[in-house]
Amino acid sequence: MVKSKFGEKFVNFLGKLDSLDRRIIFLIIGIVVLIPLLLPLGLPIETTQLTEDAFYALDALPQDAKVLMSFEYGPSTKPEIHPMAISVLRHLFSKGNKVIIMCLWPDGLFMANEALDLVARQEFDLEYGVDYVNLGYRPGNEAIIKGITKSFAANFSIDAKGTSISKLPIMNDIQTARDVDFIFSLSAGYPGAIEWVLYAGDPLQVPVSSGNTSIQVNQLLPYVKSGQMKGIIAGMPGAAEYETMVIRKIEENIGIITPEARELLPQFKERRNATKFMDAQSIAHLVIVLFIVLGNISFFVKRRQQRKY
Amino acid sequence: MFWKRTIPSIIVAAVGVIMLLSWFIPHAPFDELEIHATQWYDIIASFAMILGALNLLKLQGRKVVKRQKGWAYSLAAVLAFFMTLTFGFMVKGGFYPNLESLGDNPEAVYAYIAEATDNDLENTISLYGSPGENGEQIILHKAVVSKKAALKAIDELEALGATVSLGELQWGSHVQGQKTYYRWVFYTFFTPLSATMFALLAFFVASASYRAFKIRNAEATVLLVSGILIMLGRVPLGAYLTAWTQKISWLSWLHLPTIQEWLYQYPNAAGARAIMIGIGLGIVGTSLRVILGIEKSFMGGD
Repeated sequence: MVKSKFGEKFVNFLGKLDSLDRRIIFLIIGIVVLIPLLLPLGLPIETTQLTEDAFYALDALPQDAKVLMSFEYGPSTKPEIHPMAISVLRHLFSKGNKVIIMCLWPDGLFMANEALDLVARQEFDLEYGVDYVNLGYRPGNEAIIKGITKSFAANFSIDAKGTSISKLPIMNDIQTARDVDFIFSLSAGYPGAIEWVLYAGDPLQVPVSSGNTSIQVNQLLPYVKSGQMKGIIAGMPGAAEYETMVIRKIEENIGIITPEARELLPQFKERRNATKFMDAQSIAHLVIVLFIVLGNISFFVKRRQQRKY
Repeated sequence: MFWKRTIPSIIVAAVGVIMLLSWFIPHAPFDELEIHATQWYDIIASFAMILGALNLLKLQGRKVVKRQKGWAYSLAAVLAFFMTLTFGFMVKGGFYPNLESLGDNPEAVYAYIAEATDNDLENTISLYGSPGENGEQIILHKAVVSKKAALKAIDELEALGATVSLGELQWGSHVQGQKTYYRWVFYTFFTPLSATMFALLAFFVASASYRAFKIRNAEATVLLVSGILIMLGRVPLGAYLTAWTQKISWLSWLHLPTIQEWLYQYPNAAGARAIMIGIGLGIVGTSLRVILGIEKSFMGGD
């Protein structure tokens, strides 16, 4: 009798869970995100094919290659995409590649400056205008992409600092987007990776890859499957994978690596933001799944009770 | 009617046909036309920003004047607009003392600079020990450096025997330069507000999943199961929990990242491709309707 009463109460409790106050859910999510950030679990990062394809496409570029990187994200998506920007810059500079940066989003300019300040200036101590350049932001979305397929100078007569691009050694042999060896778009929406494929990558036959938010992966996968994009770095998990691959490459001495990159390895290991955040994301995903399971149990209990009466 | 409808339709049709032809004819004058057209677009896009700003002021201003629901938020939007505009076009900050020579008392100058730039003495000596031909920019440890603050630092440094001139960032490049009001607005207001708005998604996704992800029918079940597999397969925890399957060859397909990757690469890519082809055909159809003058809704009105 006692057992059945307890059972009845438990079933009623499960039925009532369906109308759980959402503030309790918010509180639980807040706590489960916070705890792994304060007490990291150190879960191992496994790489996936999408990230590996992007990594190896960039890794295969020769030492004198010039890569065009476009920043199309802002502070809202910074936690997901900024670690990718940093890792890709580290990867390219550790091979001695030159990087030309431009922005199709106004916020992208700030993101690009932050990434360059850390990687190009503080870590690698590279020379502006020779090893890298920031051409800044231009309004016009895909028209800018289409424009640079015909002429860089017509669309970017000066860089972000106001210097004429004709005075920048890195731009000497760059007349159009056809002259770069690779295009990498760091994109959180429109205009972004898709526009780079449609208006520059495909018409000019320049390889394109991209770092995106997780939510964009669905839209981009057809371009990856068709070979129009060389892999993608998908969301924070992708960023963590890329961080891991860059460190592994230097540790295991694979391919071209400059002596500066070898010296910087301890700093790269220390500054792995995406990897650190993955513990929090892991636990948050697990808790959301548990919520879904709980919500369904409650749903079935409630439905059974309704049928009964 | 003629000026409002017919002429715009003719312009749109002519531009549409010319741009379409330029894609297939890579010779003069069509190849040149494409460059000019994209530049025209850039100029129009820049003017569209002005129109957008005016529209924002009109809509939000009306809410404030008429005290409609949520007018306080509109007031905040209008004030923020003018504040950013002021810091973009009228007041910039970004001044700096430019150290030309250290003078007779370099130790005192180093100590002053170390304190003013929040740097240690050793680093300060390595940075400012030998000012170049154009001097060395002293980046004061302040959120924004106004002309007054820079002049004050110059006076104090000159009192210590150093030769210092006033430097400032140029208009235009100041939007991304250090110690400017524009940068201060971006990092103090826009960045945390924008990040907060996006971060709230995690909470709403959790709450919405709890309420809406229910096994009501077969389709909902497929969606729910694949959603769970993707959520767990994308994070290291999924790989960690199913790492044991990798040791048993016939169970290796149960590894969550493997399942997630398969879902991404096949069913998901197939669905996304179908949607994209549909959208593509829709764009072709709509573009043809616009070029042929059948579709006129873009001109506004009826």
